Amino acid sequence: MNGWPDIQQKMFEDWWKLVATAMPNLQANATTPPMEAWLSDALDQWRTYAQQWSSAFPSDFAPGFMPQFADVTRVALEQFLASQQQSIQLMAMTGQAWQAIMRGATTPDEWPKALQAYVEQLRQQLNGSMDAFKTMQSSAELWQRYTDEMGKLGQPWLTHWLHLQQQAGQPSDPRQAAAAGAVKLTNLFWDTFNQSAGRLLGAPSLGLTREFSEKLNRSFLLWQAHQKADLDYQLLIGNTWLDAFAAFMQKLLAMAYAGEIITQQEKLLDLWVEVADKQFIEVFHADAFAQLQSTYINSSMALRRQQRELAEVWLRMHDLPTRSDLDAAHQAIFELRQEVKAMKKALRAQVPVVAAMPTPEPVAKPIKRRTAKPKVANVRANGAGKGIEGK
Amino acid sequence: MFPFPMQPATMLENLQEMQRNAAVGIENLSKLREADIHIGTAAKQAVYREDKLVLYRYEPVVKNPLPIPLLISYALVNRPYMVDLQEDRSLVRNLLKLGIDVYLIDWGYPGPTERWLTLNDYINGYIDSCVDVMRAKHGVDKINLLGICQGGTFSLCYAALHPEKLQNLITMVTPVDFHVEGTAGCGLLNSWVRGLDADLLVDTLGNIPGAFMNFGYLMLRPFALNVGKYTTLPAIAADEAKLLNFLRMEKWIFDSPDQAGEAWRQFIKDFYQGNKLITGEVEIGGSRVDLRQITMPVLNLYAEQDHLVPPASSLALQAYVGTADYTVQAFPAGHIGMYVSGKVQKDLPPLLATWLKART
Repeated sequence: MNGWPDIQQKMFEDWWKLVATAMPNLQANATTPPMEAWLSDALDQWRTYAQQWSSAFPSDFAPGFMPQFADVTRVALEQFLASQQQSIQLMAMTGQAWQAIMRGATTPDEWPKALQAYVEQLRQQLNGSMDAFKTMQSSAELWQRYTDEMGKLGQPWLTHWLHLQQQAGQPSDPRQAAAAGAVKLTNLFWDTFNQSAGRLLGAPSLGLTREFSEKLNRSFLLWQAHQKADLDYQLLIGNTWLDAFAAFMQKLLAMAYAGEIITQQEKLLDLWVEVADKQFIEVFHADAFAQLQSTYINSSMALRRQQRELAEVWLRMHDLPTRSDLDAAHQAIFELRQEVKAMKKALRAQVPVVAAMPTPEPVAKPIKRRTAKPKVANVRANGAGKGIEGK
Repeated sequence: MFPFPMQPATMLENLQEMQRNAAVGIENLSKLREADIHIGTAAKQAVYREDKLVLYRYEPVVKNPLPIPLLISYALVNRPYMVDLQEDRSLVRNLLKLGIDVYLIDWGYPGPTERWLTLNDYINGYIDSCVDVMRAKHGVDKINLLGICQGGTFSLCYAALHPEKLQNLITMVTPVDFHVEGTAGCGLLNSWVRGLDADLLVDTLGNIPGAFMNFGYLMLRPFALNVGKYTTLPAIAADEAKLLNFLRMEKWIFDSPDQAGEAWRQFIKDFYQGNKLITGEVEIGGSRVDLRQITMPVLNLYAEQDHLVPPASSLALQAYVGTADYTVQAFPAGHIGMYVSGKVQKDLPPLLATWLKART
């Protein structure tokens, strides 16, 4: 634990030096590193320290962060570490914004305008980066991205495939394999397509490839729809975040005008949490947000289901069980269990009637004996075999 | 004028204090094991099991408890031990002390074979089985039912379908009108769920993952619940008792069972999207749920600052039930505060017990 306070203290002092360079009465030091460098350095130090700290604990369980901790404790601690990271990032953002405002304003009256200009600049950056995605409408580009992303699904089989290649004396390094054209086989869909096409090369067309192509095309379309929904959603969240940050900075400016001082680091974070939640909740209440979020989730589900259908084609081709097979088995178990329950219930309802009836003698399977004539014997209800008395 | 509204010297001093707390806190944290986080510790016995459901009876702590026992039906979305989170924050213990004979349904964790469980299985199956077990065990025709949150909605359906088996019905933070509009973060779930394709979700995922549900709840206060709450951890962790309180709550929040797919599908479509409970269009096991059939006394308890179930959603009940004996009571708390707030736990159990005793 001893290193943590030192790291925090140094981080804070460096940050303050940076903020101070933006003060009108202080000259910026030409050697002072930019805020981005401070943030990067601070986060690196924080992560390094967190890792060192976790490795100091004995790891006598499964690999993971602080594995000897209770699960709940571990999660709470991870959340705390994450919140500290956010705190560092918030300090960097705040300092950066403050520097920009001070650079753009010569008197306090100009601060709001400078803040607005700064936020607007950030917004243009955000929207511009999203536009870059949106303008990528070429089907070749989109298809390339789609296959790149979907290819990840093929990774579990890649290892096996490379192993086979190695056995056959072919290159096993993925980069070499790629150079040899093997990279195509890391893509689940191309792999499946090639294999199905290859298998069916000499066979009459029975529609199997047509079905697969239809699935593949549909998956591509769903992926495109999801990409759009994803971008729209991210854009809204991004802009809301900027609005929240602008509101937060306005609060700080208002405090500066009023001569109010924040005395605790966590109060800065508390202020951010309060302002950001308010801003986000306002957006969350809008119908437009509910619609965008639903579209995002629905498109994600549609794509996921279609991916599974494609994966099932591949699995069936390799005689492996699919999710649909498992679902069918689970459903059968469920229905049988329901039937048994219903029968037991019906039986219980009949208990008084059955109890009043004479108990029938249990009948056992006749046993063949060489020396004696087979007899029907009494069997104890709980002991098959044991109850047979050869008399 | 010093334009930056922060004072580095005091902030640094405060930071050092926080670090001292954190050092003690981390020591405390590192000693803890899962087994140290005790929850649901009131003495109880399993009296009935069906599939993954377990019906518990809490050991009475008074000589002659009320002859008509109380069944608690909790929501499916979190674990029911919230009603007995810890010794000094326990609705169950408080009710036991007041002479109530308490039973609790533990729904268990649905797995792949429970994906096909419907609302009919939960309401006409599980709840009805538990009610029958209690009736037989106590030799009574009717029992008292307390439904909490979604468990309250289930209880309303059950009460409408089997009014002859209930002496009294209590609903707590129970959604009734699913289309009330909220403000300031209240009632967001109602609007968020409206556009979801429930069929697509269930057909894709089968059971709906608890983590998916939890994500939705955490997004209702994205920064406070994901960031702000944890900044105080060093200070909390320095005090072992406070730390355990914090961790018990954390455990409960993230102990979210998956939702049985078919039941979730119907709940979303009929209740959240169709708002059919108040129009009498919900069908359970082939029978329509008509809230006018609820003729037994009803006590409706709600939280004034409930952001999950807007008060207006719970308050709507009065307009639809058929009972002539309807009581409503607000408490100055949020959704979770109803079980763990010291003030609420001082007032709510006595009110509930008095109300029940007057109707037994």
